[in-house]
Amino acid sequence: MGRASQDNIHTLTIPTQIGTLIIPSATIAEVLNVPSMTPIPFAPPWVSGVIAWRNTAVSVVSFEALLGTSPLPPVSASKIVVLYPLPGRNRWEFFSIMAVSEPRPQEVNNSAIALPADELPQSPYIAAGLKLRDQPFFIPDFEALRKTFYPQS
Amino acid sequence: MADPKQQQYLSMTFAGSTFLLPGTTGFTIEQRENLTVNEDSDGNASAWRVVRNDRFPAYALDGHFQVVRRVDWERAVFVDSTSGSIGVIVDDVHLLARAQAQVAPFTPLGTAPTSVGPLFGGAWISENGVALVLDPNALVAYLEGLGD
Repeated sequence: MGRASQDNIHTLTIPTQIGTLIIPSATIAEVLNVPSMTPIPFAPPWVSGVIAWRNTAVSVVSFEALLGTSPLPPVSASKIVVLYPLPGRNRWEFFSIMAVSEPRPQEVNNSAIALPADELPQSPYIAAGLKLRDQPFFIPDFEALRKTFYPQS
Repeated sequence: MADPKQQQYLSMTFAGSTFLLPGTTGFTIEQRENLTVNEDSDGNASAWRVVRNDRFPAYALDGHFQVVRRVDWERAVFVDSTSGSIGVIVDDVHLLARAQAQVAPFTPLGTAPTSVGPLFGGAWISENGVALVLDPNALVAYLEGLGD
């Protein structure tokens, strides 16, 4: 295996209303159609509800609401991206992100260009950004997400 | 909370949503005719359970756990608390058979709404979707904060 292929990172791009997120594939457990969602009383506005997935209850997070915009309800093209629990969390604490359309695999290598700060959404939940074939992708800040998801711990 | 897989659960439905209460929780189901209904349109309590010189409120809640006042109800579930008991008006209540309730642990995201933690500590996964399992201490803490 050559050096170039070793440097490739397998990712998934997740389209949302605030732009396309890009996340390492290794953090993603499954992509599925939007199943029936149960609302959670007292959930913050960025939690759309909870779904049943593999005998586990998984919260659905709206990145749009996290970034301060109003999310649209799911449409037929919407998908749920289930992510593995964040570091230090219990093994059942999967969470998910609502995508507005089908996520796509994307290999990232050192040809990707970092987005300048003024082209990033002004949010603590976006750590950085990349430009690939002139399209911007935003990298979530998982540590910021962990602090917001689990403020008591 | 004890091992959720070993417990029996009380299924409570109100405002179109179903929630489970662990069977280890002390509770009493009271019929409307045994309660003192709040005839005043003011106040949060819909009724009181009167025991000797004490009275314990029951609240009608919507699906977001906000207090509503309604007249079309027949029963309430009173959960034991350190100060007596406190109730929730329900449309349907029944015990789930032990084998029926496959409850998974669940941690709600975000800030807990009560001083004793999240309102929910588990989730019942069924072919109908997800029903959240109430944490009895958090439920009591929340209801006690509603006042009369």
